[in-house]
Amino acid sequence: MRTRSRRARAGRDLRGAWFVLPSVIFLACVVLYPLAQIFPWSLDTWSEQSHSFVYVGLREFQRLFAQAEFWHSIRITFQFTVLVVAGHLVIAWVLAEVLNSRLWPTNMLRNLVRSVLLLPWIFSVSAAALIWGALYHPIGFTSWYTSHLLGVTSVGFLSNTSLVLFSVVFVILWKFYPLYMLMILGGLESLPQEVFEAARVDGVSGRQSFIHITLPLMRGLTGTVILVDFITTFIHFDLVWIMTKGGPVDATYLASFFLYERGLQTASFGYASAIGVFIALVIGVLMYLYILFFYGREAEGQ
Amino acid sequence: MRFRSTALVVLFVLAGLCLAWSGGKQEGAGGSTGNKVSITWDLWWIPEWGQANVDWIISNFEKMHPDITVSTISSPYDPYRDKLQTLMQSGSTPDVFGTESQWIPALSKLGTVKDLGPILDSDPSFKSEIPASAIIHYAGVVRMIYYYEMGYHFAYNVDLAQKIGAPLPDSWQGLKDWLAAVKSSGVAQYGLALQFNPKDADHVMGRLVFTPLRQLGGKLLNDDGSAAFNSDLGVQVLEYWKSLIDAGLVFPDPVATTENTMYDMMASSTLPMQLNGPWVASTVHQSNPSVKVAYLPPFKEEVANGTFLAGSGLGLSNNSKQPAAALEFFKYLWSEPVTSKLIASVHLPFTNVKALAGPDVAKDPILGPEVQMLSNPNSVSINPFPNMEQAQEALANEVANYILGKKSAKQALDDAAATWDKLRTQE
Amino acid sequence: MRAGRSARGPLFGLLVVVILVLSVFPVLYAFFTALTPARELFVLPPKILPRHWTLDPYGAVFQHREYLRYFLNSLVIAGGTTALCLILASLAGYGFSRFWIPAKRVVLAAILLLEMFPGVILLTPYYRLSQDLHIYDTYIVLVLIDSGLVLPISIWLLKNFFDTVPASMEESAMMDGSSRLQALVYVIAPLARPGLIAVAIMAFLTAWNEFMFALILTNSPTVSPLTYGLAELFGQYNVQRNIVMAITMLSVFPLLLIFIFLQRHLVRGIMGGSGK
Repeated sequence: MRTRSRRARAGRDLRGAWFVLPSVIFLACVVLYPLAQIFPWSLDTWSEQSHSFVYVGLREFQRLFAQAEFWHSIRITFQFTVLVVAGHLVIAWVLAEVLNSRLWPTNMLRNLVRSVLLLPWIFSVSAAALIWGALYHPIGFTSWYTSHLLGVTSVGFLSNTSLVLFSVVFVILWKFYPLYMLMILGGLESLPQEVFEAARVDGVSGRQSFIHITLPLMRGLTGTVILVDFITTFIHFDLVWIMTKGGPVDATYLASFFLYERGLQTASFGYASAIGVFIALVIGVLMYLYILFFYGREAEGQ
Repeated sequence: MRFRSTALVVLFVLAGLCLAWSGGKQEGAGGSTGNKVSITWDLWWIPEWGQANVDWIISNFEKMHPDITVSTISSPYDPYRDKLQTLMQSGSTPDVFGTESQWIPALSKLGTVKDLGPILDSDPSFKSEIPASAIIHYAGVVRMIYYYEMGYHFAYNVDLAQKIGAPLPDSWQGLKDWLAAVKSSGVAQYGLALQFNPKDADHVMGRLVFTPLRQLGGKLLNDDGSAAFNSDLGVQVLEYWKSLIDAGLVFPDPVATTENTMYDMMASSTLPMQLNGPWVASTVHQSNPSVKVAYLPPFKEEVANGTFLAGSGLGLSNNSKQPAAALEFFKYLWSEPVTSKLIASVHLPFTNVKALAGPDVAKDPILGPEVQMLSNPNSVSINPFPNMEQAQEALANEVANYILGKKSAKQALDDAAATWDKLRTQE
Repeated sequence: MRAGRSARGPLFGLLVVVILVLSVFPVLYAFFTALTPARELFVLPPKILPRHWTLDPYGAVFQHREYLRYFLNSLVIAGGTTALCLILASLAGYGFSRFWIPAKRVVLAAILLLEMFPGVILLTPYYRLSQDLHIYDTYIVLVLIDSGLVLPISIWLLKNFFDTVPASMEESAMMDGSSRLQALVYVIAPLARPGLIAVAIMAFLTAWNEFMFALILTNSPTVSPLTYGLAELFGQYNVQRNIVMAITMLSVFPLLLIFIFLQRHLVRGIMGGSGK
């Protein structure tokens, strides 16, 4: 039973604009305006002779697409993002279900556990990278006991090229799951209980009610979680950079690293802008398709 | 009740915004007020040299030049390069700035790095103060001068070495024997740590490939700058390190080991020895003053063939608002009083020829050998070239490939050389 | 209030314990490492609890003379960001929730899409702008940029939150004679308190932990925040593990305090206004 005024009573008045305008103007000035310069710059190249931008059309894009390392970084970024988003979804759902369960002896205990579970979120990115760097250290705690468990001399969490991507994914999962856990938990707690009661009375099993009642009802929220997580993770830079700088041997070379190293550090701004524009385009197209597919079937109202 | 809390919130908000607006003083990047002229010095060395040293340098200069004020821009090493580049890109190049040689290609592209050639040519006395190997060329133009220059040597923990009891090595083969003795003595589980982490690409190149290669008499680069390190001697160097690792003499997982790890381990008296620059002692002492660190004298091979020289240095801004003042300060930094003081307190070979020839320096157990190697005519440094950072990274990655067992040493070096040459000649 | 699932008691308890261990273990590791003397750092086999506890690492941090100043700077910047975001996001969230906005979906999506670019690419434009506007190395420049980082998701969050507060609330207030703005401030805001606190905490967190822009756009103990100041403790080579952990603990501690007091509201705010 939700009441919300879809349109103001007096018709299409623009009173809403007054509330929204300050934020829109703020974002337009502070974020959009600096960003917008990227687009014309992507059609330029930075000339070493004249120390300024020179128009070259799509040449920087052509140069970009010819780089094998770029496509490698895109591939790694996709692997990374898919693992992170999937991992966050699973963890968020499991933890939300656990926190929402009836099996808690007291509310206070449950709230305590919930607060403790939020801890990874407060740490800064560099702190998290440092802590996990120490844990993953060749003679660090995690490596030591894992290697003893597996009977090998050492486990190269950050040096084994097949393992390192998973190692950093794990850290990202650890650092950022609390937000998504809370979002899913909120959704679960707001589900109408009558439906579940009715289902139980009718003899529907727990698993069936989960599949046929919970999941469909949580669809919108889950979709939003996937969306937000995908965008944020695709452009990720800080944490993984501190831990691996893209190595070893480019095993964790994300697209944002490519932009940073090949575009910015080499003072090739046209090139960097082209990379930025392309990454944004990729995300934009994927998101559009995703929204179309995921939300398209829902009713027009929201 | 509600009204009051709302009013409080509004007040807090207004206060916060007012405070935010008023706060902070703007530091102009150079300019002049009245008769005084001010210049900026960008550096990462304050934590390394100590605030006291830097303060002395500046106040001493300001006493000599009462019409010039020097202000510093300091940032930690890791983000230093980004900050410097952002400053340059936005038209606020610091008048004098610290820099590494591998950053020069990118910085030069911005047109903000001054050509130091004319300055050196027009002032022969200044030029003669500086060792020739410290003058760094890029594309034929002098863009920076090493402020300190040195080779890499083995630093060791004196107490652990005594406990181990074996005679200290004086050659590369001797090193292997010593490490074996460490293991059998039971004093420490591993005698050496090696930083093959591609994150520290310039160190992998400089310390683990070029240093032993040069000391064995191998060629690093051809005269035209193309790669020569993929020779048989190069293969020998890599296989030497691998044999140490395979024999269990080196801390496990060298591809994950970074420089910080090695300092940390040495400060905790866990690491008997590491290959590094002359600053190990002072760095370790900052964390743990009770650890006694000494350096192995140069190996036999090094004395015969010289070594690889590296360093960090200073550049001048090309669009300084106070070029004369900036130049004064620049030359002042190389003056004998300043370099002597730094040599004595920081224990690095600062590049003033006279200061380096001082009697105290020759007697210094760390600096004495360093200076000898500096003046050894067989020692070489390398000049920056286009895409140098990427080339270093490629080399470090290929070496890591070999250490991880994915390629043979020859294959790794050949691939690295091919990439090196391709990048060197690219745009 | 529970979407019941058939998990057995003890198995459930075990699961909870495992989860807690996995998420809290690194925090405990950092905590104890900050109390470990240097010589015990690389002991083999590795331990978490040190044999001899010491406060030296914390002492090393506090010797850094500007620590208090950096701390205050972070407080101002984070506080300013929080204030700015609260005002803008609550207005905008309310507006999107209650009114018709032309191309609302598109505008909302566009706001979210502003986050689609890797942050590094904004360094130079921001630096240039800050110089041109003479706000380089001031509090306000970081407040503006940090707000820009947090505003999109804050608007989205508050819009969702206001959606769950019935419009009848302010309608009845307005029928009693107050203006819409008055209704918003006196009637809705208190009801939306959890959402507002959630936004406040998110804004504060983001601004407190921000490093990259703080590094590039400030240059002095006058204005630089804690993230910058603590990074200065790291020279080119000197990063000792126990001091690093002490630094980490110190930078997290104030957040932890705020967190403990307000976490209930934070949780409510993100989870939605339904229930209690």
